[in-house]
Amino acid sequence: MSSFGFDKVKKPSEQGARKLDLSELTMQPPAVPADKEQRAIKKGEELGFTSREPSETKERKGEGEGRVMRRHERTPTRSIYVQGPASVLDRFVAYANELKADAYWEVLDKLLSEKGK
Amino acid sequence: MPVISFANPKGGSGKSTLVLVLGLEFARQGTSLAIIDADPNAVIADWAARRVKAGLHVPFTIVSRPKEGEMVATIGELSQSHQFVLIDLEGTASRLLSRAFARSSLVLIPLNPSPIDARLAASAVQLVQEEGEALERSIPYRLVYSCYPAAIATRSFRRIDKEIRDEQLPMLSEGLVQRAAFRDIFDFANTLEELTEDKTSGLEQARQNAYAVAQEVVNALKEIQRENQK
Repeated sequence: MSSFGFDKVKKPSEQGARKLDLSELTMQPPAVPADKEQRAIKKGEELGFTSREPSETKERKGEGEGRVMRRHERTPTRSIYVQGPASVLDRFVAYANELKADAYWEVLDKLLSEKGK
Repeated sequence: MPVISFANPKGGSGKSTLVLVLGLEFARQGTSLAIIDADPNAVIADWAARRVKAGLHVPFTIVSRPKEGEMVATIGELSQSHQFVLIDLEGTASRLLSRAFARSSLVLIPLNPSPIDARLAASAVQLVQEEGEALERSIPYRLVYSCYPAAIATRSFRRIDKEIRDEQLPMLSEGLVQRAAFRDIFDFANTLEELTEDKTSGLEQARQNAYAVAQEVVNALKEIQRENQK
């Protein structure tokens, strides 16, 4: 038993049982006109707030040209070191150049996809 | 009803902790609540999934990882059917932030008292202000500490705090204190009420802290509502 009566003082958790008064809150989320939102998004992009969603394909350059390639922006990456006969690797590099691939993995991806692997 | 976005382009700034702690406090008050977990780490969706697996009740609706194109409709639908919608945004400078900010009654910008958190929090404030100009209305926001030391204020904390106050940026007067309970709700997929003293220390202080921050958020919303009615 307390000598001073502090044991009778309400503990913080007992004071109103930590009750929030939400009765006055009636607000609705703001309406967003499409034209103003486009301006807002443009402002955001100028500050570096751009789309971070991976796009599935690159845009085609024109009918019958350009390439459709998968982008793997969010998948984990790893490196492999390939040593082999110069003639084979030269053919591989020449083929990559012919495809105008941005990276050698894209050529591997294409070859594997063609084999259904 | 109110839509609250939580954003800081820096990952690890305490957004998800603040969202879950506030969400649980609102749910404890008996409100109907929805959380949009747009953070790629999806720690709140994971918290909810572990509770479902354990046969425990999830006290809110959870929508995990909506795409940018789905965000607008998701906010619209949830705000019609719930008293509160909280949006845990990804910790990157993303266009999803722009979409969410435009539809928010309040943007909360959590920061740890560290220089890098403060710098990126400032960029979120800049986005809020620039977007507000484009939308021709101000987007209400508040900075909030999400994990500050209970006992000793570090020099960098004092420096950051001084700068925020000097610039007169709106800041919640209560923030989340660094406490074991706020980690343990994730570890054990528990609510603060379910944690027990034998596993977690400082529980009562943590519950008080969660309540105080929720009270501050409600006060901020009421203030914004009064401003809007003028």
